[in-house]
Amino acid sequence: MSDEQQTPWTATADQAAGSARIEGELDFTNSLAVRDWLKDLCAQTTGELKLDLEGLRYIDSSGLAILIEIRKFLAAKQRGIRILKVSSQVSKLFSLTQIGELFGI
Amino acid sequence: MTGDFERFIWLVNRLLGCLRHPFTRKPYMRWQTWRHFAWIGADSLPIVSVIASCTGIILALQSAAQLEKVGALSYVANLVGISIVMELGPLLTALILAGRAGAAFTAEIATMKISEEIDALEVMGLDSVRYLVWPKCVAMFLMMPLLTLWADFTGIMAGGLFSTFVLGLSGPGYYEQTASFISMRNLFSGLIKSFAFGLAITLIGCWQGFLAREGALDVGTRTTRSVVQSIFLIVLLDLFFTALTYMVT
Amino acid sequence: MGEDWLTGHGAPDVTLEGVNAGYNHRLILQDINTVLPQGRISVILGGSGGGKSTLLKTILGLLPPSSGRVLIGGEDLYSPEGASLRDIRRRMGVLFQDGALLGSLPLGENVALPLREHTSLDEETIETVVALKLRLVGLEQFSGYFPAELSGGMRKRAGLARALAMDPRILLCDEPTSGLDPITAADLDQMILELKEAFNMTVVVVSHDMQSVYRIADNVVMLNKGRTVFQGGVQALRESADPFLRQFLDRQPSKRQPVREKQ
Repeated sequence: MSDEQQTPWTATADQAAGSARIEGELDFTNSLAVRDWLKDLCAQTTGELKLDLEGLRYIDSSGLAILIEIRKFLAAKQRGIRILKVSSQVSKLFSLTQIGELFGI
Repeated sequence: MTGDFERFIWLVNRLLGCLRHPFTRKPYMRWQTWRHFAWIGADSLPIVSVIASCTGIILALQSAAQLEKVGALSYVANLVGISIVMELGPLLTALILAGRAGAAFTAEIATMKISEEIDALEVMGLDSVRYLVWPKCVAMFLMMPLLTLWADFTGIMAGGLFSTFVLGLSGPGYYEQTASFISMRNLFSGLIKSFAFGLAITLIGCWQGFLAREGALDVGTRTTRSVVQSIFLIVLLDLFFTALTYMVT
Repeated sequence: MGEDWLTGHGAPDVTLEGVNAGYNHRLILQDINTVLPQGRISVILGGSGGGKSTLLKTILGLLPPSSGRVLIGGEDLYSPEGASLRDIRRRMGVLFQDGALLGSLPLGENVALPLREHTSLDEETIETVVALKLRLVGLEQFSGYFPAELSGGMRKRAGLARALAMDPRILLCDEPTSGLDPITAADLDQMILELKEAFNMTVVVVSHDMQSVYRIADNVVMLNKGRTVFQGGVQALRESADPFLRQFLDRQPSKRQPVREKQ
């Protein structure tokens, strides 16, 4: 819903290392914003994008969906994406949906 | 029985709620509305044309037989025109749509009700009346008058052609007479009827659909009942509006 | 708890307080008092005509009780005040008996429907979410098929994918294993267990399939003639000495009155 408030999330980027940390919660109220932020980051970096999701307490399907989109977006430019660390909720979801290997988990 | 009536009130109430936001950007509903335009409008065109033309010819034939006796054969044009525009165009179109669209509305909603699709819509937070009935209302409100105008046109054309080639009346004279005799007022009184008929068909059709309970047999029963009740209500409404027209003038 | 499950990611419990419900003044449920705990799988068990479906309809917000209250995560489902039915339903996923997919839409569109109508996600994201959900239930190649082209088991799985579309906090299933072969039924049970675990959901299952109950249930509510005759864990159910329960669990026929010969 467009009139709904966004769930809080924070992100920090290290352009030189090509890595980012996302913290908080990722659901359908903020997934589009996170996607735009990640796409901006992709434009500023080169090579493989590394994500640290250890501080991500919750992710829903739209959150997983934007990660897959970013992966496609990078693959089109012959770049990759790797997820370094995940929290337990996120890891359960990755294994249930069997998309962990796409991100090197 | 009281439960059935409560359901009708519920339906009307929900439909009135739809009036507050009559247009939508939601793709599923838009698609539904377009589907019904095609379904009610384009698909009914051939049968409406055939029946209206036949009626035009029948009227010309019947009235010619009577008018010839009093030496007023040229009045065939007036009789055919008025009967079709004010009465038979709207009535026949409505009867055809009651059998085609009304029955289809009932069958669709009854099937969805029995397979729990209606419940599924509701628990997804989607108003089943807004999703299923409102698009039918919109499509009916637009298509009913258009089809009626088309029925008027084909009926008069067919009556004219028949009069020209079989009764030996002058073709251009026939159409001139029709055009000068039928007023906008006549045309509108027919169209107002057609709106009311369209509403009756949609309401009865959808209401009967919502009343369906378990079992595929009920779909058939409800469909039959929907058509019979629609026809009954159409004729009653016709009587009401015709009486009103002549009382006002 | 409280509001958390409506806006956040907690799971609500379902509380029924003195619920009486039925159709047209014929009472089917009588004085139901129970709590279906959060984050657990509760199975509502009972014979045909025992009031299981009626109870489910009451919890879904489709059948207002004639008296009593239905609370979901503390919110009164039928109260005009408080969180609206619409908000509560957005956090609910329902798997109907035969899937109840819209016959006029292909599978992918069925799953996409709640996302299209309730979120402002764009087309690309919706497609990815739909693909994820279909993959979850093993139907990713069937996105373009219409429900009528699928088998009963596939329709159920597709119904599950649609129920999960909005990442519900509470999942309700109406006889998920009925009409399925034993392997498909076990697969579906396994799926429900894993989903509960991964999404932290409260799950309510209506069933009379005892094998399935032993596999998935954390909590069992047993109905007979519209009244609760048992509530508790699976172990307690197994050990119960109640005659009706024993008859149900041991699959014994009901006793008939002996037929007397005419004299």
